[in-house]
Amino acid sequence: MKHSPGRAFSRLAITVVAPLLVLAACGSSSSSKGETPSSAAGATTAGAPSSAGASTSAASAAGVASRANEAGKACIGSGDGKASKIVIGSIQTDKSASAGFPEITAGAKACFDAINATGGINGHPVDFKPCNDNADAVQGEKCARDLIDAKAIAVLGGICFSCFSAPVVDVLGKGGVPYVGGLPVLPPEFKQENFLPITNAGGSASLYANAGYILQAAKTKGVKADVVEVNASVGEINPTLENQVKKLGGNYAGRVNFDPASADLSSVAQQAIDKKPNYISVQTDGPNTVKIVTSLRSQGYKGDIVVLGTAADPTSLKGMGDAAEGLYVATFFADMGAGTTPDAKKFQVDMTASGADPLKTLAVTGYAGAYVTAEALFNVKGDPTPATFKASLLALDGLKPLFGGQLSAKNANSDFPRTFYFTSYGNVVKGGKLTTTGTVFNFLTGESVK
Amino acid sequence: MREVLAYVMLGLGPGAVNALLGLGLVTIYRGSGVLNFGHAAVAMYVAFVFRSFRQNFGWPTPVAFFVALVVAAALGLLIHVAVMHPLRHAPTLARVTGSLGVLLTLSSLAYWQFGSGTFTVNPLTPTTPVSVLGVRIGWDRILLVSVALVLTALLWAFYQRTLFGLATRAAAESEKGAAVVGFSQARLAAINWMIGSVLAGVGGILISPIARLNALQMSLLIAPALAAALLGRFEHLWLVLGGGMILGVGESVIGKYLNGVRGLTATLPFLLIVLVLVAKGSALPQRGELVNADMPLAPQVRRVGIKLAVFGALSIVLLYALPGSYSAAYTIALIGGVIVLSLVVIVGWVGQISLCQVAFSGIGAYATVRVANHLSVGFPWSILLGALIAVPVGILVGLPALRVRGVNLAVVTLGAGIGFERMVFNNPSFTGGTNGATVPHGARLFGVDLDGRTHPERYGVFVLVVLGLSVLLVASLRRSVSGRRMLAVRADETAAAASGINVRKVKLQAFGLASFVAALGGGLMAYRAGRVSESSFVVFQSINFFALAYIGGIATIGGALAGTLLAQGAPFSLWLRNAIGSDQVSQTLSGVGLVTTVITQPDGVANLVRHEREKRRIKAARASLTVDAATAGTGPPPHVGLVSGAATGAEG
Repeated sequence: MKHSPGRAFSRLAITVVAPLLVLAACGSSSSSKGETPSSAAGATTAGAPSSAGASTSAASAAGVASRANEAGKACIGSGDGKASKIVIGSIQTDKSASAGFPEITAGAKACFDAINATGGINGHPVDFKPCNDNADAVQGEKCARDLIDAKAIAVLGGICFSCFSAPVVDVLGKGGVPYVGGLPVLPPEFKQENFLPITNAGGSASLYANAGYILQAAKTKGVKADVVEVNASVGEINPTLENQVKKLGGNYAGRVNFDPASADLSSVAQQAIDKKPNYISVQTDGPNTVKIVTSLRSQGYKGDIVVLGTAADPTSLKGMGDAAEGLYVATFFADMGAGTTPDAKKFQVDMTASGADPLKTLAVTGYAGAYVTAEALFNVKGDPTPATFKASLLALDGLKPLFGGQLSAKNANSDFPRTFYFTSYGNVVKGGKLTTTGTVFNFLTGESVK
Repeated sequence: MREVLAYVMLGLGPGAVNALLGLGLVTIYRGSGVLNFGHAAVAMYVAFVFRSFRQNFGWPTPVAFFVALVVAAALGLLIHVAVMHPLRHAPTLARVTGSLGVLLTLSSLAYWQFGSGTFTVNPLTPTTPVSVLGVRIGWDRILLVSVALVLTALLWAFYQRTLFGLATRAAAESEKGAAVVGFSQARLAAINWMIGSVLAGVGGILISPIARLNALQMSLLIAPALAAALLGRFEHLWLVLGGGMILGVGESVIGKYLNGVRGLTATLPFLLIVLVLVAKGSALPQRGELVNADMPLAPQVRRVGIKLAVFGALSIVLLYALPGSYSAAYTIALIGGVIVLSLVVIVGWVGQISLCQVAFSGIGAYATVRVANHLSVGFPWSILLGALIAVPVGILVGLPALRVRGVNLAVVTLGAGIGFERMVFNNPSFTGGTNGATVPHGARLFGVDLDGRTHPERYGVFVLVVLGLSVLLVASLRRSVSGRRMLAVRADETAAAASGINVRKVKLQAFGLASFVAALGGGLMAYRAGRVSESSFVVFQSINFFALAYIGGIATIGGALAGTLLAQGAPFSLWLRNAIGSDQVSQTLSGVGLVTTVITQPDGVANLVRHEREKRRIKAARASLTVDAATAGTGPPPHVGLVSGAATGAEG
């Protein structure tokens, strides 16, 4: 062998690696279509209120009153767009060391872009100012202060790690800016005066919903529900599922917590199986849900599994393979990515026009939050302020979402006094696809919403 | 018993991946003498490439697998040729730093190229269960264990029965000896890098369907891989396999029976690493290398008062003149300056490679909050007390340094950083969880309101004062007897001990002081934002600060401080974010800058500047002497060389 650093090797390396890496990079950008990387523990659902034919409505004719009556014109503006700007902020975990959800911000931006393109909100163009909290409470608080300084009328949430905590909402509250949407985790957070979680049912609401759905399903089957929850250990332990299962008369068989950064979750799945449940509620993000569901099935669990909506995007379902069959999913926006309804098509058109990926189902969360916020602003007479916006938002009623649920403050109960857009059930995975079966019901009232 | 057996079986899968990564580490170490901290990052990157080809292009799995492994081999070759081969004669610190540069670069590259999220990889095997010894497990576990067993056997045969294997083993014992009998060390190293990287790629691809495919988290699989390799003494392949399996099984069983203890499974590798290293003293077999190089220059600190005055005046102008966000960013850079001073002491002057300094900042930050809230200790005494609380923690982490040094210590401190992150900072009962921990209002000093949120410029000036005091402390240490003892320990521990220096005491003093200084930085962070959150103290932050200090000059105060201007959140990264809309650039620059610096200017940019200044001074002196000689009609001028002490770092 020669004493040489190996120039031939260098040339080989450059020749072989460069094209392959460029190819992989191209693949990654094209691949992002149809994929939802991950969602936070506790991330759940969203829906875009709609009505058929919304996209064909004449935007210019939409006045304050008419918009309220014609509820469901997804992200269409009105006016000449020459009045003063309305600043709407958002605080999201667009990216961080552990996870990122830029598609939510992209969804909100797509809605506001569409509104601005059709004249703004009563002539006011929307100045959308997103702020990445970097999954950091310190940064989230800074975002809140910056948006107050920017005179934001409202701040949108979605999956925002720092917004799990009180500080962001507190700071916004002291600045008089309502926080719309967001991802409340613990029951007390739903009761914060300034928190208006309308775009989804966050961690606690999902657990609440899972309990309700499981107990109803067990009742239908005529069996007693033995429920185990598998929960990512993020922050404090959330007792909602345990409390609700017990309250509804089921047997709460225990909780298995795990470190969401763990490489392998098969032993976590085994711990759940060891408790001998017939229902398992899985509360974590998409990739971890895939790992747990596949482990549960491959390790022989035959009972029912209920998972979060954002954990059941098409990529995750494909990742689960056969294990996804029969999975119950607490969500209703899966069809948005496929564009099978008029509002879903409008969503896709707006996303594409905004330069965002139309197949990112999680983007519906941001889109819906922006839509509902805009609806409330359309109903404000004169130049909106945070106070008039909040009053208008709380007065919204009758906006019907696509896949169940009801956007109405009347849906609130003592546990969720300011959440009025609830997760609904009736979704099951069949043939690898999420389908709505039977009656969709509001998990709080038990009433059919179809 | 059957229940335990189930968890043992389930742990074998991830154990096999630990083993595969460990085998790759050993292969590269035996072949080139490099402990590659970027090894799991290679695994991560190859897994992303595989997923891209398979799920996005729709290539058949075998084709995507094969091409991804070609990429792995080429990547290994590139790292060797571009980074490690040029560092073949560099000291251990430089090689460790080079591999950390690879880690940072690959992580940020993947972050950019493939996205910041966590991705799902479709299963490679059917998800139907199979019953083994009465326990139902997935086919993927069977596949993982089988691959690990087969590859270990093949590797063992390859290194035992082939001429190449013999040459590699010979070079691992003595590079000189191998060179004398005609083996090209460069060629051996290159091929071993390719083999090791392919092993990393296999591990990364196989684990990706059952683990989280995420650019940063997957790179941290280096910890269990290191533990597995250490259990095999970086030599015995079957022991590496066994070590990996033990770790996987241990994590599975501990997860079952100690489910309530947060972060314990993630900390297990660290505990094992410490146990092995402390028990054995030095787990990595030493190589007889062709050349032994020196550590970076640690020049004497001169005119510190004047420099501080100029720097302070300039900083005050900047704090008040810059727009709000840039002023705040400058304060962040100043706090970063305090933290990197700790690296100057522990790494630059004592030669102890610590990769967990930011963990001490975290301890200091949370301790500051606690003493302020629970003991009602006022500002700024709470910061001081918080820093003092971190001292025993620093000494505790430094204890293994009494038994191990160099790259072994880097392994221990990396594991410690991960352990702190998972067990302490991710534990809401310590840190307040996602709420973080809040410092009380009332940051006042001599009646002046210094609240970091309401008066950020004033708080910036306060940070500047603390930084100045810290610089004076560290500079006086460099000039003191203790400082010279530290440099003596850095140069040669045996010689230092023979000279009557208590090496253990010096090391522990250095760890204590460095943790105190780093913790001061943590306390300052707490009062700047009024809140502390755990994400500020992840192990990647420690690596980032290490990189920045090294780029500037880790053995020089000014150089290390200059490096922090590139830190995330500091003015440069803010400018980049505003200019091109991405703050990830600063981390990529850290990685690439680190690799470039370690190859071209291993003493850091500050010493490059110093060298240039010295050259100009010598040139001027020669010219002057020539003129004098010509005027006086005497002989040629005497030789003027680099002045000892200042430029050569003779004391260091």
